[in-house]
Amino acid sequence: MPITTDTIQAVVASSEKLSFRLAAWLLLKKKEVSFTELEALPTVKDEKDVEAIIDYLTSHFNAEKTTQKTASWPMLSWETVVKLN
Amino acid sequence: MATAKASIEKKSRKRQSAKAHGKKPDAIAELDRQISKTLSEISQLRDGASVLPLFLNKASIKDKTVDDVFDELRAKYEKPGPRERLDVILESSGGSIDAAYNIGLLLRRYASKELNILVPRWAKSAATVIACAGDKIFFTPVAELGPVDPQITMFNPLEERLEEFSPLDIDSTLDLIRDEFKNGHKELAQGLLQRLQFPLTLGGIKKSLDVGSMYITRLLKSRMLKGDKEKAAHVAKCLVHDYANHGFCIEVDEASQIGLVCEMLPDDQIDALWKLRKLMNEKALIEKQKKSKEMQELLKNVPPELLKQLPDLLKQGSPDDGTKTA
Repeated sequence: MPITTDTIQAVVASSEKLSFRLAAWLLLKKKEVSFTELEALPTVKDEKDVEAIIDYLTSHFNAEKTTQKTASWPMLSWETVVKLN
Repeated sequence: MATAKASIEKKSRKRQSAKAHGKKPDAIAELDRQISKTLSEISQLRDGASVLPLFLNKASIKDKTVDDVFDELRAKYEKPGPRERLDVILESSGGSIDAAYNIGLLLRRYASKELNILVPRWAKSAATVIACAGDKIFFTPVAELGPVDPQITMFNPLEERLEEFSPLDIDSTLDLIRDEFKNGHKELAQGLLQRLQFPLTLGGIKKSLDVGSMYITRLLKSRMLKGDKEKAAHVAKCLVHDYANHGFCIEVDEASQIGLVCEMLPDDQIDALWKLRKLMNEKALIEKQKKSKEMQELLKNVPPELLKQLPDLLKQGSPDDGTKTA
């Protein structure tokens, strides 16, 4: 989705909650945003806030919540990522 | 002389860069070294067993996770075969039950002789299905499995948010409505009835409980509880139907009581496993701090309407912060 002025205005207008607006802007800009990045937003207090943001992004945008591998052997690990389709 | 000077300047630039990021640049590398060392310690304490850590934490088990685990196993081992033993360290809050079942079967193919599941803290929900694929489950004093009733996610159009509920909630909701009718609260009962999903949808949701039962029974009767189909079915029933809520803490004693083959790890292995978990958490914290700094830089470019609402500290250095420039 190209980031036009209309898109940004739609994002700004789409929710009153600042966290949601920032997250939406981030998703549109980067095309994908990770749990760690959302957790690092200055308006986010805890994991519940992040879960709420992820709910918001997946229900208001053409985005999916997926699991991405972050490390291979010897320590396999994954994190949650929201990707724009 | 010139080389020494260049070297000093390079080190100075590296320190400045590290200072800017608030942490030594090799902190993550050092943690990775400690993590590798701890994994080797765990393997030694476990009689030289091959150790496979699967740290999903809060990330959901998905179909892609099956691909990832398969890729990693193929990279590590030439092919599935009669390997002596595989000890899987599992830390997961759950996800797709179908993917979890597939991962459980996959792990067995690479550990045809002995498959142990070590749980440092969580192997909840669908991750419990993976645990049931093993021959034995090992716990720390705070480790927990969880009930395997599926969690259904549906969009609530009235409140404009996703909601999660269990198929087990359907019966209690219907009981609630029946009670309200019985008690003469017809309007309330009818109002609740109108808010329910389409009957076929409800039926389908209830049927999803059978999936968990089938998977767990199949896994248990073919390995952990080999030959004892009745006991396997009993354990499956407990895990799918018998707990009050999805977050119920099934620790080692509870797991043993319902019929799973499990035990507490010895002290030295608990120490090593807990140390591993702490190192992973420390690494996650450093990565989060690094992301915070990156976010602060990125947020300087937000649209003006959003920028106005950000705390003042974040606006420093952005074009709209009101400071004078030369």
